[in-house]
Formats: sequence, C-alpha cells, structure tokens
Amino acid sequence: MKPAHRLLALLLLFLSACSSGVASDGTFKPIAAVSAQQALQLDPKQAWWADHRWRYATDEAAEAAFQALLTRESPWPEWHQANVVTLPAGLRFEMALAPGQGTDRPGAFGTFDRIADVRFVRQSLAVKTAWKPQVDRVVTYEIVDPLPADTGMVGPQIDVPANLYLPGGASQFEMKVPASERAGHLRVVAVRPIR
Amino acid sequence: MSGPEGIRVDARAGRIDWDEDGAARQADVEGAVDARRDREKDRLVVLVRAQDREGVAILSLDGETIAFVRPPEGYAITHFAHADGPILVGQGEASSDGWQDWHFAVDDECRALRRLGPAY
Repeated sequence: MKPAHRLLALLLLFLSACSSGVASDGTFKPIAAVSAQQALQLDPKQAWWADHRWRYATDEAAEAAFQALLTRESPWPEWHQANVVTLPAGLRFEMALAPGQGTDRPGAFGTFDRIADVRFVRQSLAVKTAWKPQVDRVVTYEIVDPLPADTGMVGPQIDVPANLYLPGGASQFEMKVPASERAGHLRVVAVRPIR
Repeated sequence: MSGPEGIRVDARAGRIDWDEDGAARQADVEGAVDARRDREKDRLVVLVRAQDREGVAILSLDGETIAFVRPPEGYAITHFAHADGPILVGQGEASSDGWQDWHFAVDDECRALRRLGPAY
C-alpha cells in the first residue's frame, strides 16, 4: 500500500473513532470505519483497507486477504465459519429479484434485514453488478417447510468494473437445498418494487 | 405480453413478435416464456419452458429456428440476467466452486451454454 493511501486510511480510522463511541443514551455505538458515503467516494482498496486492515498482523497478510477477495469472490466474510441451521416454519425474510425472475424461482440468498432500495442491495448485501446486473423488486417470503441454511453476515466485496467497495454487513443466509426445491419451502407474503 | 427491446412474447400462444429493419417478424416457439436479442451475434435467444422440454431456442432474426440448447446437467435456466441482453441465469442443484447459481451464455456454435460468472 502506498504511504499516501496508508495515511488516508489511518486518517479515516481516526475520524471514525472520533465520530463513534458513546451515544446520548450512554450506550456504545460502533460505527464502521468507512461510511456508505465514503465507500462510494474512496478508492475501493483504500476503503477496504480502512475497514479490514486491523484484522491482519501484517500489511502482507492484509494484502493477501484483499487479493483472495478479488479472486475467490466469497459471499461470506473471510472469518465466516459455516453455520448450517434449520430455519423454522413461520420465519420471514426478504430477497431482491431481477426483472423477469419469478417469485417461484428464488435465488439462494436471503436476508433478515429490510431491503429498502437498490443501494442497500449493492452496499449492505454487497451484491456486485456482475452477480445481479439489475434489481427491480423485493419479495418477502415466509418459510413454510423448515429450511436448512448457512447463516451469517454479508462479507465485503470489491466491484472491480464499477470501481466500488461494497462494505456488506447485513444479515445473510444461503439455502442448502437444491434450487428446484427452494420454492417448495417458501410462501410469498408480499412483493414490492424498489429503485 | 410486451417485452424489452420491442420483443413481445405471448407465452400462452407460444408466439414471439419483433421488428427487424422496420418489418414485423414472427416465430412460433412452443413454451416460449421470454426472449432477448443477441446484438453481437444477430440472433434471438428464447427461454423455453414447455412440459417436454426446457432450455433455450436460438432463432435467426428472420425467425428461423437455428438450434435448441438444453441446460447443463444439474441446472435449470430460470430467467435472463438483463432486461436488454442475452445472458441467462441457471440455478443449480448443488454448489459448484462455492456458488449454486451461475450466469450462462449461448456459445458461438449454438451447441451449448457456456458458464460465465456467479449469479446472486
């Protein structure tokens, strides 16, 4: 990492430390080193470095992790340990759909967070443009038949063609059933357009 | 039903209508559910979901059927990734290289679907 980039990353960490901490009600409120707005403005590697450098003992180890993220594109954070559980009937979740994607053809990933808009899909669910070029609806599903799924948090991504750092951080699960069986576990509760 | 790029797919009738150089064109493809124009290869890519066959029909811009390509084993082709492009999404029965769902494109020879990158 260039010295100027490292200085900027350290400055961001310092500024975020100043802006996070004790809230008016006395509780501690952690704030990500890089806000969503900063993530859109910074060089993607600088932004990733500001958020994740601390996880690694050396710059070399952090650089290796960054390169692995670019190559492997894992939807999970590097620290994720597979945690396959059975999601119970009655549980509701949301999923972003592409134009032309039927609600009877759900993807493999869902979230327990509310998908407010396409920006949330890109930034918080870290869905690269290449993975899902267009999103036009959100469907709320309810699980009607217990569903095995790997659960955890969305990992960060680098959207190289868009030159963007996608911080991730929302909740996420990946269905662990064959694609043809996904819809059989689900019931559509509501569908709404998003932009 | 009106679709993108001036392509209209009547899924019930299995009929596709589009305009080519100002002239109306039409083709009958049983089970057609959606279609896109492949501008790079000058052809139409039609997603087909009939009782006895599922896959992708490739038509010339005159409406002649060039080929029918079945999904790779273990995948169902579910929808187009773009409103205005011929890339398809295949949902898998099992994970491959860490992902269940992938993008696919019809190869140049119209013989197979070529796997591209992961699909979310």
